[in-house]
Amino acid sequence: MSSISVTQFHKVFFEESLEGLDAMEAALLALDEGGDAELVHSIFRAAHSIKGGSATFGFPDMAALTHEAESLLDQVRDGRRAIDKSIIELMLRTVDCLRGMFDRAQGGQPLADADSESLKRQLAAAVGNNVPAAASKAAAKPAAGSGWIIQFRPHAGMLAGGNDPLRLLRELAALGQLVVEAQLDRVPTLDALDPSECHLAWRIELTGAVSQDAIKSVFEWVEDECDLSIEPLVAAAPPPAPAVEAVVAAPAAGAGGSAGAARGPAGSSNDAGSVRVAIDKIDGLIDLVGELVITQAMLDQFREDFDPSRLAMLQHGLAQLARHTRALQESVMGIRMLPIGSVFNRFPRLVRDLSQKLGKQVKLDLVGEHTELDKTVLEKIGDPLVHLVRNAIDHGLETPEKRRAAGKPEMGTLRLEAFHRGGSIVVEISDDGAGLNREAIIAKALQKGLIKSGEGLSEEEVGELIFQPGFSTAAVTTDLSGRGVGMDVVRRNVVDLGGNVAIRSRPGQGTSFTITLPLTLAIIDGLRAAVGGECYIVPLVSIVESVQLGADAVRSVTGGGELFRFRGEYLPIVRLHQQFGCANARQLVEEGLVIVVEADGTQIGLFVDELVGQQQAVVKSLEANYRRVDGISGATILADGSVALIIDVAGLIRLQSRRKAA
Amino acid sequence: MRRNMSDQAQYLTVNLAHEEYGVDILAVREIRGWTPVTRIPQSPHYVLGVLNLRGAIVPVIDLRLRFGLSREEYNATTVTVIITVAGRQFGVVVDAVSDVLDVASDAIRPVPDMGTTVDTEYLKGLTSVGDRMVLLLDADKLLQPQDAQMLEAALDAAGQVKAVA
Amino acid sequence: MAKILAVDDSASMRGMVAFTLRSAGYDVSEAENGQVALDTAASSKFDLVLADVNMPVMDGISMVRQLRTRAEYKGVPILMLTTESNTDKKMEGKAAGATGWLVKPFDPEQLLATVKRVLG
Repeated sequence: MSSISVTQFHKVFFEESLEGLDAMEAALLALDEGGDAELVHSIFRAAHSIKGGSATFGFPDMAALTHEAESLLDQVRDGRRAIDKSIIELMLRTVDCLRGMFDRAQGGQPLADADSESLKRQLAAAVGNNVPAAASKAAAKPAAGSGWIIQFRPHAGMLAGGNDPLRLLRELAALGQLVVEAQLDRVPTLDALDPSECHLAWRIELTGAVSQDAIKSVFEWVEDECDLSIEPLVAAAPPPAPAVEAVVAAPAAGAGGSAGAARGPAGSSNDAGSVRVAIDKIDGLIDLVGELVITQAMLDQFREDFDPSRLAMLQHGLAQLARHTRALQESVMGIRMLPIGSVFNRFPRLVRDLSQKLGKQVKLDLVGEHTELDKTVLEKIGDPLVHLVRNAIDHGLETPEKRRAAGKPEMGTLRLEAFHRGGSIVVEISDDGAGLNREAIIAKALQKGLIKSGEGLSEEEVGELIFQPGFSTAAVTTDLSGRGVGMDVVRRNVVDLGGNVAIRSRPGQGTSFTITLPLTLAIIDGLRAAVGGECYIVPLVSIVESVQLGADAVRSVTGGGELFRFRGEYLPIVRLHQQFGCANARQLVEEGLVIVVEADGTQIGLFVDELVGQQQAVVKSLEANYRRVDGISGATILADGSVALIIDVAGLIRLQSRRKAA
Repeated sequence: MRRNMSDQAQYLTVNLAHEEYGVDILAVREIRGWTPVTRIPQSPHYVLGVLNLRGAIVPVIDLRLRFGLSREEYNATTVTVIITVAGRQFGVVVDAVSDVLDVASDAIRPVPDMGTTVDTEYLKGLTSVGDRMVLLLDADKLLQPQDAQMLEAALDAAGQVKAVA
Repeated sequence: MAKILAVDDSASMRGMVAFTLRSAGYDVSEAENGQVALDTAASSKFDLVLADVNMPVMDGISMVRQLRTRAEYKGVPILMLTTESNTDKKMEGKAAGATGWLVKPFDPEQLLATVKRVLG
């Protein structure tokens, strides 16, 4: 028993509480914009859970703070107090303060600080309480006399409520010596007897040094379900002759506690990372494993005796095995998938604070919060998104005056949307602001020496400039974006996740950033392409089509490039053997194959010798032991144990466009 | 086994172009026969490629090429020594492994700045065993010049970016 | 061994309750809100139900009220897990048919003592 320590639930408690705080914050912000009463309930529920949990799991400072917050919320909930900006502000600060406390709790540090103490007093003041220096507990009444006479007459419905009079008698017996007299006067005749009702009453004599409060606590649950009187035992009173007498022995010592002693060495923060998984996902896995076991058993029959006549059955079994393995793999991957909502949740607050600070009016639209992303991607996409959102508010959206002057509504719109497209997840951040300032960007790029002339740059090319290292467009660097992070870092972060960022801007109408991310980082579907004696994996998601070109289908252009016509457009050809320096590759276009691949809306043709098959590739890092290689996103291990490199299509396209530009 | 004395270390000696080199045995993970590797584009010529070491992708360098010597045909005695430095694994192809030596720290002498075929920056000293001279490799540095090369490559890329438009 | 249904929307609280009771040998099922608890209680008969008061979807009090309408749950102990501040909730719970309550915060020992008290 003593092995049960509440510390083992700390991690879950922290996770759910931080989620609760996110929900609380979101609801507070919605309330700020005139939400309904249900929001107050959900805020209250979140605060209430944190209060209960923090008290249970040994965080009294946190419990004390949430208690005050809860009291204030309770007044709002009951209609005793109207919600106003000041309460919302106070609650938002409480959310922040609690987040800080959870941070410190995870690091095993003391929770309360000057901020939390002052916030607690402010909350208490708002409630109308003064926080007492120390809770003055009502002194327990001393044991009176040598015993008590208890008259206990349950109401008929008490049994139905789950309270068994015999249990109460047992509990009394634990307090001292009992003499119990059952009173049968209310028991009806057998034909009228309802066995679910209680008709007995008891007169109980309890001797021992027992306080009246101790007895009352035994009857605490049934106070309103019985007639009860507790009177001191008059020493001289002779015990009445009992009609039915029972002496119930006091049980041996109660549960010996070691709640305090059981604190494990859980102070060290355990940052191994965990995922909370919906039960239905686990159930799905169990089902799949079950099927896999059945298939395996079926295939096992062939081990003993195989008769060629059963070949079809074997093939069927193998196909089933492949199907189940695939499904199992997808399900296991699914465990790593979490909704992007957890990242989106932080934006209402950020947008509110930022827009207030900058005197702008911003309406935030969040779309597709349920879109699921790989946990690793999710953890790393937050910062780039924050940066883009900050940028949009700081640089993209105009002040109300400017918007009015431009004939636009004063309130700007910032939209975050997540959705699936093909095998990717797309996150779009778009605003209806002024769009990129072409002149300012070109001037800056000229000044920084990034370009030699702004003549004839397309809108896209201008957009690309802001992703160059060291580029910043704000005429005056505000404290919001002057954090030493540029768009180049945003792009690099996204590229590191196997994704890409593209920008689209229309003057006066707004800017949108499109982040494309892989569904999962762990496994991809790919085609094996042979080049010389080597083998490369081309991710299936990037492939548009493979075409065999005739010798006359390729046009050479000045500067050594080659183009071919595909679906009405001319696409550049990248000869993989040249790009990667492969020996003994096919040189003639008509002898090889061109794989049309696409990334970021750009298509190119990859010239390879041939395609040799499709397979799933478990993605391994090249960088773990070596380094990044241009045009290669990673490596995988083939069925024969050898290594094949995975082509980074987006990277190749970037290399190609640089070459073109150079 | 390494003796419980701080001034003594064990070195695995390997043969390379008729010279003997010592690698701190604590850095050696395993010794494998030569197996073909997968070539990595845009890598220095001495990086032969990568191999699959129980699921990890591990680069392999040819020590002869690393030291600017001519390449030998790989044969039955050619081995790949897998080394771990600063958490990174890499393989080093040498002509053969020969011995394990106990070397006291006071038996290590500085490398004279001439007379060896190898750039002295990869060496932390030399020692003698009988009439044999053993050059002690500084495993930490075998990868470092490559980092410098990475830097160069990065600068090249930056140059390319600047050339936009 | 007695079968217990633990109902709480907080995974940590539910986890603590379930773990403590399982360690003591009870057969514990879990539910994250009143509605799930009602469904679970329909598919299996429990000897004791421990329910949080504040829960999304269906709160503990509504759950108790509904559970008591089922013949097989007449007389089955149902304890509300409540906080001190909710004195009126205790009474509301009682009126709905709860047997009693356990005041949060409680530690594993207090929980076990109360469960033993009810189940005997």
